[in-house]
Amino acid sequence: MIFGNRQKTIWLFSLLVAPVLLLRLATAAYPIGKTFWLSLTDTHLFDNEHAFVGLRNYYHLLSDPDFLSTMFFSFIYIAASTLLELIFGLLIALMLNNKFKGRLFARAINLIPWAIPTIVAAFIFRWFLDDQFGLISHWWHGLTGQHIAFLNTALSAQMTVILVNVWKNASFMAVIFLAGLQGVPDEIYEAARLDGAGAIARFCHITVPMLMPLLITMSMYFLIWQLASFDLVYGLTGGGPGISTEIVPLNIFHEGLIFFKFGYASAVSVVLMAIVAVIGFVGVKQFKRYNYE
Amino acid sequence: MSDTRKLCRRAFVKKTGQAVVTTALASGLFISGCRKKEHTKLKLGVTGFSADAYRKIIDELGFTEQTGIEVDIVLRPKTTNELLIQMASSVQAGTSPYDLIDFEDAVAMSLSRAGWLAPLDSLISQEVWNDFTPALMDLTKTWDQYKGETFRIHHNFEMCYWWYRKDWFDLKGTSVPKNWDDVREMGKVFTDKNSGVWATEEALIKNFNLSVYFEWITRQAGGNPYHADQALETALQYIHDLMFKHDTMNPACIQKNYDQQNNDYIADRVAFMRQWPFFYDVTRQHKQWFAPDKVVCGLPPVGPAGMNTSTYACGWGWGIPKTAPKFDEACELFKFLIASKNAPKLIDYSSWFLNARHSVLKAAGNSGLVNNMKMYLDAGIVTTRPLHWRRYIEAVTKIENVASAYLTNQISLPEAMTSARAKMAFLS
Repeated sequence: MIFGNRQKTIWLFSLLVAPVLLLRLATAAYPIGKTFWLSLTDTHLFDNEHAFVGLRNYYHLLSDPDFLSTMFFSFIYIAASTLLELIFGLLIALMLNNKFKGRLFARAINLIPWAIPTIVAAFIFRWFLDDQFGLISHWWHGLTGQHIAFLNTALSAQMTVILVNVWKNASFMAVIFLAGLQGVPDEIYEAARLDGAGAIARFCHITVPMLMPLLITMSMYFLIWQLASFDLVYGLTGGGPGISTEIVPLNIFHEGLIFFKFGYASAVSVVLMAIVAVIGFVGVKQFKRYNYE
Repeated sequence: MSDTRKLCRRAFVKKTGQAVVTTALASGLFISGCRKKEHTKLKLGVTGFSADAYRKIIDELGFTEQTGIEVDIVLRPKTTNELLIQMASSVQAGTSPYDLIDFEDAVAMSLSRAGWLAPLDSLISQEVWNDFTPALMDLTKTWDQYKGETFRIHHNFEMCYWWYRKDWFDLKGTSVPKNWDDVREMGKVFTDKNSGVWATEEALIKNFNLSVYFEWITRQAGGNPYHADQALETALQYIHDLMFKHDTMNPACIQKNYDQQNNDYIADRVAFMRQWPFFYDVTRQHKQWFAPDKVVCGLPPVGPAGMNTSTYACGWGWGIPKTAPKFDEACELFKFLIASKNAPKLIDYSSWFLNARHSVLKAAGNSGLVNNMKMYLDAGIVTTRPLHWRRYIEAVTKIENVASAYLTNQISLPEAMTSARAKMAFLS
């Protein structure tokens, strides 16, 4: 032992841990505390306003129909996207887990949507969906004889944003599930087959339970990650038409970095942080429940 | 024999000391590397498409020779939002990435209201003021002055122009629309939904495209959209009717940007439209398609407020951040660029410097763009771009949200107006 007694060990421990602790305080605790403080002020960069206003920002945002609409779509966006990504990711993974000719090639091209930067994908799809010259619109016109503007109504724009997001992320989900599937021993499937279990029964009673920790982890990860990302919506619709596809992070971007209303934007950020915390808490609880050894 | 090597206290202290000293030295080097270095050359922040012209201007008009000041042309962010974010962080740090900036109206409103731009009146001679036409003076008073001080000078004076397919109008035997009623009727003449042809199109996506159009139409209706008054209501109703009642405007415009709008015109899908002067060059780049009677500039259709407010002017100009590291040198360059003897020379390098100064108009000759500008100025149809005096960018965003929701039938017109009034009241 380097130091002879317990007190010295504690000092050594503190010495070694202090840099990391200070770093986290500076990069995480301070920004969070500062954000919370700013949310209680009416700070605006242009006006040099720094008055303490209590919960006024929270009152404003929770009584603002536009913000409530933004919150509502944000929940729909992350819930629908994550659910569809789970479903399609699992289906793709099951397909890629089979033995067939060209499996390696199929696994490789599966990753292409994920490898395209999100903002690039957003701009590509804006052109794909152009009513006059878009590839998808062209196919639609060939099928129905109608020109359609997919981003022109609230509902179709919302559905488009969700589907493009699913297209982008399901492939990544598939890779993770594929890794999980390869960890399920074949003997279990063999035993179930001998007991007369069909494909659906094997999927429901073996595959899904064995992948459950992974399903929960990925669900939580994608819920939180998508709640805080805004590049797809920013590039594809800009939150429009109207504010029908506006999501909370885009709202924070506008309020904080375009209007420079730091106080108000901080209040929105605190609300977002609270939602992320709740989702994270639920996720951890669920994970513990299914994390059998 | 054990392989475990025990660390004695002396060795531990020695090694820890060495690590601390090394870390301190490395940190010192890093911090000294990060420390703000005062740049040696004056930095002129410009957009990418004008950079070459600026380089030639500085080289060939002899600024460095006359003053001994070297100029570095640096590219500023392309979009308003990015530039504002960049300036906000640098001004807070007491510096600026540019000593002199070429920037647009929206940026001017934000930077001036934040108090980040230096007053320039002492740098502007009476000779320069005398060179301004009334239209440019109006624009300057509205957009370049705040609390009695001038913070920017326009070098670029642009108007919303009205372009039309003369060949199509001739073919149909139809005269060009003179007023809003005529425009409403154009849907019957030109629109063919099955082949994707529309009488008119616009770029109506949010983020400063939609606002340009409703500002233009609201001006024609005799008002300012940021007052959220009857003129805005009239304008929104008119645009909505063009889309859904008369089939004159393609409703898909609501998610189109300028590239998409121009693309549709050049693909023979549009009979007429409003567009900025850059469209003049865009059409000429498509050599196989271009013909003079395909892109004719005419006077815009007149709205309810009469001819005097048929279009508006806006533009780009130069300003100096208060935190500019080379502030005095920037003042010299500013004086050089706005001088009456130099302003007319700038248009030899790029139409970017075309504006409504007497000397510039005189020197500009009779090229297409100059003719268009003179035609509009002579017709007396040019007013200034409407503004929100306090929070322009926020006001634009709020009204864009309301207009976009109404024009996609998510809300009714009364709901849109109620929402617009509430939002503008909150901003004021």
